[in-house]
Amino acid sequence: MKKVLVSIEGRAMQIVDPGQEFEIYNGPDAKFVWVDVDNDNITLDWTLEWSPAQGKMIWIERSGSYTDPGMARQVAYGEVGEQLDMLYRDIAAGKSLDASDAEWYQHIKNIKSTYVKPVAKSVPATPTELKSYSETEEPGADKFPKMSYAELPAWKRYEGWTDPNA
Amino acid sequence: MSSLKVLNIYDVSGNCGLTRSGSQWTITRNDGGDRKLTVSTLQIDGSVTGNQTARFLPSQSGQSGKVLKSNGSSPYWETFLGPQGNLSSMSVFTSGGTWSRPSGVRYAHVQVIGGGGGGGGHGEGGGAGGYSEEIINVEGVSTVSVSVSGEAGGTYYRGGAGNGGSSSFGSYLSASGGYGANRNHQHNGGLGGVGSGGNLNIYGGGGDQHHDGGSSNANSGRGFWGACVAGGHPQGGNFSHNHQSHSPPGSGGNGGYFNGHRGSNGRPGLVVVTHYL
Repeated sequence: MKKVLVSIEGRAMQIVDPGQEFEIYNGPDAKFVWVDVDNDNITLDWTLEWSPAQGKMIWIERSGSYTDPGMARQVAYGEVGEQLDMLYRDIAAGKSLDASDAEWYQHIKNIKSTYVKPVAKSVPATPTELKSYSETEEPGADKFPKMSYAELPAWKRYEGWTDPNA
Repeated sequence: MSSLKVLNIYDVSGNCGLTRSGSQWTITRNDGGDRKLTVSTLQIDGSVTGNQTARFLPSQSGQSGKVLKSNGSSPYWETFLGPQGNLSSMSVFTSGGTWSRPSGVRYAHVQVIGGGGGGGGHGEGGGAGGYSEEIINVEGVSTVSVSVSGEAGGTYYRGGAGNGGSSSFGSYLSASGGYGANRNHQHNGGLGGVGSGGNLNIYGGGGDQHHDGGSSNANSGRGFWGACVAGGHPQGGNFSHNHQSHSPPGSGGNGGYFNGHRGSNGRPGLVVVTHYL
């Protein structure tokens, strides 16, 4: 069992053992609250999201923050300056640019095989799109996080929470 | 010397006069009119008594230095607060503890900021702690439990930096910590924390995104008490990280300049209680 400070959006902000939680504002307009989580493995990367299929809030066990596949690929290519430096070193060493030991070519080849070019798809951007996404899509660790919103904070539908103001 | 001894004195009409009873003289009116005494100078050698106390000064005995005030129906004495108003003293919490109400304090102005999130290794900055502020009537309060966030660790490239912790003044008001760099989404700065429960509840500033290092001297979240540590350049080594303490409470950790440079730690939170008599 852990005590987790969870945000309106459903992000785990702070994790402590039971008894180590401290007093916080707990009124009806609270911006974050303590909830019980019956899983000692929870990390700050986990998110509390609505599952339409299960009809309840569930913890999505993420191993890290969400990484957009296209962005991950783009970042992996590295800075243009670094790539140009690789090319210079290949040329200065007299290598054929597509040789098996050519630094730049192998770098690019490795990224193209490791990070498969993703199919372009839009992510929710406007508040309306985000709300619709949160209510209708089934969550997953490989998906863009489904965040709750101020009108319906993540803990309101969470089974491990009771309203102290009720 | 001759004297005239009477029990009653009346005007010529016999309607208005003075009547003696024991040691007291009373104005009498036989026609039902007002019993009114008009004088040009009134000298009182003794005390003033009667059933209209609201119109008389309360006793001055033991009230030295106080000022006379009114609640709208009766006058009363109150301590003179002086030209500085009723500002009394201040308690500053840089770590958790217990606030105890100083004697005579009636109001507390409480400011709470959460800890800043740590910075990432490639420019991603941590979010600043949220901020909350409230004026509380503490006349019926003796102690309040105070929690203050410690610092949150910065990290190297791709890692999720530590989230800032929350700070709180009991159940009155709280402020969450800023998120660490890469913690909300990869390559993104951390979101700022938020205040909760106060008269004023605001977000802390968010951190910058991937690889802003070198292009900005303030690429992490700016908190209520100010911006982050100085930006670093490789010529200074892990400059931001090494000088991370030179930044205000609640600010986010600065991102490292590039691969191999560690983001600075998010700064600890703070609770300030200003007392008013």
